[in-house]
Amino acid sequence: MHISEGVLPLTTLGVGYALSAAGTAIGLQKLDDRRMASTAMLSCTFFIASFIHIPIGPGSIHLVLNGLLGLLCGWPSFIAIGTALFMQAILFQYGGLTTLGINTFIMALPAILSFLLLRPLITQKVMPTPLVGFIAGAGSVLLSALLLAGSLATAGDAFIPASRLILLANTPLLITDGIISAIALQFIATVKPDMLQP
Amino acid sequence: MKQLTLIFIITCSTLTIAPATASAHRVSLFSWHEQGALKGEAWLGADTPVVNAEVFIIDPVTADTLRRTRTSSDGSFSFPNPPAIAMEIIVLAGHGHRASFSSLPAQAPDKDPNPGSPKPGPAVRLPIGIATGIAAIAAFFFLLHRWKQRHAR
Repeated sequence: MHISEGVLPLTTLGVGYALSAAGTAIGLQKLDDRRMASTAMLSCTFFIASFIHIPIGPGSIHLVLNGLLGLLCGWPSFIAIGTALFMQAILFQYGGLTTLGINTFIMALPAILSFLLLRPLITQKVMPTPLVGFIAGAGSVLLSALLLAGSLATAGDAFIPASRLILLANTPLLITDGIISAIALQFIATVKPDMLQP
Repeated sequence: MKQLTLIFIITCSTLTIAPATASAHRVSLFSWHEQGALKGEAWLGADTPVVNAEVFIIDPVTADTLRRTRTSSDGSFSFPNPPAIAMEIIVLAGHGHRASFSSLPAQAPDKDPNPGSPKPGPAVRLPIGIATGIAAIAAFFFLLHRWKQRHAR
């Protein structure tokens, strides 16, 4: 789910960088010493998740886990995701440096929404933790795919088929990411519940 | 303040998304590998070259757009050093005229410029890259921690 270089118009790239910079600034304000190590670990998890490929039909998909990251990190998700995407761009040419801003925003906005909308459901015990994890994982991938398709649509009519294909290809990933996020969140709630405390 | 920031971000992201539609007509598209480049021609009908049309290379597995260019005055186009994967080439000739072509990767040359010298394959390079990435992320957060500590004083 990376947009390559040379595809999007300058306006979209600029807006992506501006929004990601705003999110990163808020993340820097919110990031305290207590959360520094866990944010770094979750950034590494996001970095590695892209390399775990699951064969589906003729192609394959890879995990994203931005919903889980958002639930655990909060606003510093912008820093964690931006850093991981930067390393993927320079080490593996996934995405690119000009698209780093929009790629970060596409992944981080659903993470922040997971944090703001779903994290209270865990702390108030309104809903079972695995269900919250599933909704966060699946919902974040869906929203990221929609944002990605929308961003590609700004590049012109030629990308409309690609946008539709992205939405279709990510359907199995919704379920996979949701299940993995649910299991991981339940595990964290069992062995280290203070990570889910405000 | 948090809610206002969130509303601002959602509004800006919505404004960047401009929906559009496309339809399809018959355009002939031919493509081949030649001297390390992916070359091709686009024709509208039998003898009208498609001029100044957008041409894209798309990864059919991930749907990522890998390259883009435009056709020249004789309807030809070229992508130097194309990706070594199976790919889909799409030409958009305007007014709904569109064609696509599935292309296989060019065969790699058999000749090794430095025979005998061991070279790391993808299976080796990937773990090295991952380890480098994790180390760099850890170093970045360590420096961020130090920076925040200095600012806290």
